[in-house]
Formats: sequence, structure tokens, C-alpha cells
Amino acid sequence: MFGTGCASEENGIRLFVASSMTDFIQQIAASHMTAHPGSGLEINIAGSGTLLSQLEEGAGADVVILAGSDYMLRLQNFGSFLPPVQVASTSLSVVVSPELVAADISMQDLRVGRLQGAACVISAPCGQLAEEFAAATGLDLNSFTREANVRSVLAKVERGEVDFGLVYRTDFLSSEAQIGEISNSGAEMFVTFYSLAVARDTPDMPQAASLLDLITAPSGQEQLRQLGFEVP
Amino acid sequence: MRAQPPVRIRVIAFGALLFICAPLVSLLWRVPWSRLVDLLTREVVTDALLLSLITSLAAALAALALGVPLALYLTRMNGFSASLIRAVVVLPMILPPVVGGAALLFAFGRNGLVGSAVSDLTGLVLPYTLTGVIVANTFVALPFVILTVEGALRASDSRFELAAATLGANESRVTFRVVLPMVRPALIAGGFLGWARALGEFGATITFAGNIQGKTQTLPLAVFVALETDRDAALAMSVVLISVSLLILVSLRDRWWPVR
Repeated sequence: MFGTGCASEENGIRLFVASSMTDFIQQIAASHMTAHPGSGLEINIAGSGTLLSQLEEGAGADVVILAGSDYMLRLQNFGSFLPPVQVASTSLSVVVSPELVAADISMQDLRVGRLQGAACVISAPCGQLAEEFAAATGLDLNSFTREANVRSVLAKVERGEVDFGLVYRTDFLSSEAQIGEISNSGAEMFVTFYSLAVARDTPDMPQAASLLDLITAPSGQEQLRQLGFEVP
Repeated sequence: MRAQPPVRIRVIAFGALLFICAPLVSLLWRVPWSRLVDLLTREVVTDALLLSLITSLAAALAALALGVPLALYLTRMNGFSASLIRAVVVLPMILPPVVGGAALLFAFGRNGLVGSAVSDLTGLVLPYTLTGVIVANTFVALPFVILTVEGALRASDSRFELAAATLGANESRVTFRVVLPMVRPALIAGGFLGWARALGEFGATITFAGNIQGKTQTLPLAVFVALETDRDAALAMSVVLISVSLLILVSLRDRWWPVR
């Protein structure tokens, strides 16, 4: 958890964000600080499953952005959050390490099982999507290393520690490493929706609302598009 | 016979004990005891149990094999060089294990300094293998063996060595017949401590060896995954980890720490 260094931490907003939105939220945080100088924005980035566990165990949040509709549904069942707003979506992507970009890897090569794969743990939305994708395409996830969140999967592919990984399309597009994407994998059919919910009892509703506005405004949606997200 | 400390010291001491016990007791409180056997016989759990047992025992043995010679060597050294080597040796004990795992990756990973050469020569790759788990576990268990054994060696009476040498025993005879038998309790204690540490290892393992069920997913990793998907199973596995570790420490009866 890290706080963005503003003048006072008293009237702060605690923002919980799914780790696949890391890049976007850093941009939003910067705009928010410009719009609200002197306010505090405390950002907690983790996999959606981890965030939900933290909230279940009593962690306090004013604004929560989760990947995966199931996760938002579970959050709504707490009863302490306002109805969600859908902010973006992205699909799954099969990426290969820089060493394999030139090798013209196909889905059939992955099914054979000689290459080391990585995917998210099943408790993360990207992991659930990976399970559905694997079931549909005959990939054997048992040989995969299961990482805590999608950033960790991406990092392992980027550094060539695994041969391929199941990440979000946005991660592939925003990656600065020379990783490749397998075309015609069918992964684009597997979509995760991001939604945002504000806590009912947040002490600073105007600030929470303005954060929501920043994200849903045309400028925010444009930022999302540039990062490769689909917007509603 | 020592004098009783004043009341306020006793109150703080009790507080310290409570601080350590409260989380453990709270965890045990939430364990679904009636379903414990059912939870512990699931495939994910039995896979992790077996894997943890194999890798932690192998790591303890490897740590003994590597650590005892270094402890013997360190005992003979004094001054700055000894302090420096000891500091480096203890580092894996204090370092966040995830840093240790990252360091292992840069050394023995596919693109690591040593790892890339080894995999070019032999085709062997350590990360994401059972051997990789053992390497990560050995890395964190080693300091416990070295410190325990070196402490005992330094405390042992060097006159026996002198006497044996005077009577004509050569170096290896002195080492194997006199020095090591004298510190046998420390060898056992160091091995068990290293075992307990390896059993609980998480950060270095997940960073270096990944998280593959049935291959590199040890108990702590399985707990980590289950905490978010199947909390009851996570609690059941935690019970196993706590009981085994406690059993090891209690059975050592303070032999691992110089308590008089």
C-alpha cells in the first residue's frame, strides 16, 4: 500500500485497484492530485481476489475497482458499497517470451507441453479466464506456474523465465519488452469486465465521486483506450 | 537461583507472550476441526504435503553437507575476515526471502549468470523444478546450520583436539573422530532447525521455483493460494505447518540456543 504524497492525509480516499489497472490508475492518480491539491489518495494494488479477501477481513476502502464480474458481485453482497459502474474491459492474450518471438509458435506447440507456461492463480480473474480458455483449447494448466497476479505472469514472460503466459491484451500492449503475441489463439473471446464501486459510508463522497468522474469522463476513457482497454 | 523481576516487568513479559500467542490461537480458533481429515486428504493438499516433506528434508541434508564444512572452517578463523564471512553467511536469514529468490534467479535462472551456462552445457534448468525448490530451501536453511554448528564448535574444548593430534591422529581423523562427535547435538539441532526453516519457506520458492501444483507448490504456497479460494483448506494446512514446526522446536529442548 502506498500513499501518494499530498499535503494532508486526513481527508484521504482509499482506493483499491486490480493490479492489471496499475498503469491507468497511476495516470488517474496524477490527474486527481492536480484537481484536488492537498488531498490524500492512498492506493492499494493487488489481484482482485486478494483485494476481496482484504475487504472481507475488514480492510477499509472508499473506492474499489475490480476485474471480473463475479468479484464485483461478491463485493456487492457485502451491502456496504453502492451499485457498480462498468469502466472498461479487456480480453485474454497468449504472449511468448522475447526469445521465442521469431520462432513462430502456434497453439499446437503450447498443447504439446514442452514449453513452460505461466498463468494467474485461480483466485484472480485472469486465472479464472485462463481456466476457461484452457478448457476450451485443450491446454494443460497443471504444468503452468500459477502467479499471484497478472503483473507477475507478464514479468516472467518479459524476462524469459517462462516461455509463454496468459495475460490480458492490455498487458501485452503496454509491455515495453520485445514479447510476442500468438495470433488466432481465440483468447480474444475471453473477456474480463472492470467495474468500480464507491463505499456507502465514505467520509468524503464528493472526492470519491470526482474520482469516478475522472475515470468515466471522455478523457479517462481515452486514456483507457490508449492502454488497450475496451470502453463501454 | 535468580531473583523475581518486578511486577511491571512481569506484566510486559506476559504481554509479549500474549502478542505472539494471540494470532496463533486466533488461527486455531477458526480451523474447521471436524472436517480436518477431509480437508487434508484433498489432492492439492496431499500433493503439497508430500512435496514439502521431500524438499525440506533434502534441503536440510544439503544444508548440513554444505554448512558443516563451512562452520569448521569459520571456527578456525578470527578477526575481520571471519566477521565478514559470517555476515554474508547469515544474510539469507535476514534478507526478505523474495530478494533471495530474485538473487537465485539472477544466478541460476534460465538467463542467470550460472544458469544459462549450465543449461547450454547440460540442458538442465533449475527454475520450475523440484530441484529448484530444494535449492531455494537450502539457501534459506544454510545459515541456521552454520550458526548452530559454529557456536557449538567454538564452545567445545579444544584441548581434546590438541591431545588427539599430539597422540598422532591426522587432520581428518581429528575432525571425524574427535571434533564432530563432540558437537553431535548441534549437528542434530542445526539439521532440524534448517528443516523447520525449509518447511516454512515461501518467498524464495515462489520467486525462484514458481507455483506448479504437484511439482513446486509446497505447503506454504498452497496455503497462499487456498487463502483466497478455499480458506478452510488453508487453515487445515496451517495447522500442519504450525504443529510440525512446534514439534521440532519442542523436541530440540532449547539445544539450538545456548540456554543454561
